[in-house]
Amino acid sequence: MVERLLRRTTVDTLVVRDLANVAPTGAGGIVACLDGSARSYGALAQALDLSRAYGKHVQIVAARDPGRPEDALLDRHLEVALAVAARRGAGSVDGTVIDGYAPVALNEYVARSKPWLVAVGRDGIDAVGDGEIGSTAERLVRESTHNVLVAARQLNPVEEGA
Amino acid sequence: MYQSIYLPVDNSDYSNAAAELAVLLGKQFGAKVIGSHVYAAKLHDVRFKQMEFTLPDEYREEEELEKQRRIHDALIARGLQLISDSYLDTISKRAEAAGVTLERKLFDGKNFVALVDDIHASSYDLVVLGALGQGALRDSQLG
Repeated sequence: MVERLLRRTTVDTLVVRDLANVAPTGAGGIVACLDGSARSYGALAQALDLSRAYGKHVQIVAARDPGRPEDALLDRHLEVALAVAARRGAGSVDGTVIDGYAPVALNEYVARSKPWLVAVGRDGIDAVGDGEIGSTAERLVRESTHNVLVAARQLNPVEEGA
Repeated sequence: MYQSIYLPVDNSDYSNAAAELAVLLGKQFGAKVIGSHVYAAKLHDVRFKQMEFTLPDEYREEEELEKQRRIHDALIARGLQLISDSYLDTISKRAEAAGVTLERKLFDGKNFVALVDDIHASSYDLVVLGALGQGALRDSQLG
């Protein structure tokens, strides 16, 4: 049913996957997956709001596929994301770019970092506008053992002055 | 940040964990939580009618069939409503203890269809739900 809801609706959805770490006051921070899409910035915005509310560290992570020249832009997106965090007065925020195919690399990163929550856009920079859920969100919701926030809301960092 | 948090429940372990988190978020952000459950009384009704041809002859007279259908419908619908209410009662107690406003919603139908329709007809800021429900099998990854 979770997958059917995600495919048929466009509302922010938090899927509880980690029964041992449900409360936001528990262990682990928040991983925000960034690919430069408006929904990945929407995921970041919610990660920052949750971070402020609960004192959670936010780790912004972008995955760069060496075979995709356009992924060189991710360094710039990371700078923009950190600027968004600074403008919003977020607390502890860090960012990194990792190598690999995003759905796989981010899933592995999340598994290693053991966050309370991973925030990811419902679809990504390669979305073709058919309303389908993106491959990174799909992978994380299916395979991660951590709680996953699938963000449908969008944020344009330019409009924020970042 | 969040003003209305939608919480589909089925009394599974994951659903109960989702309820815990939804109430905590509701308390933190001053949001209303909308607890929702879908039961399938009409589906039982359809299944009963599909199996009527297997009944003994004395029960297959139209008048007797109508009587049996009414009894079956009343028992199933009322029973499922009571079970559904008990699911929401649990959430209600948790919300009340946290000082969070809870709205209750019950639907009769196919679960994801009713939930999607309700989400489309409403303006929830966030849906919180468990990864696996009552129907999960041992190797299930996602409900």
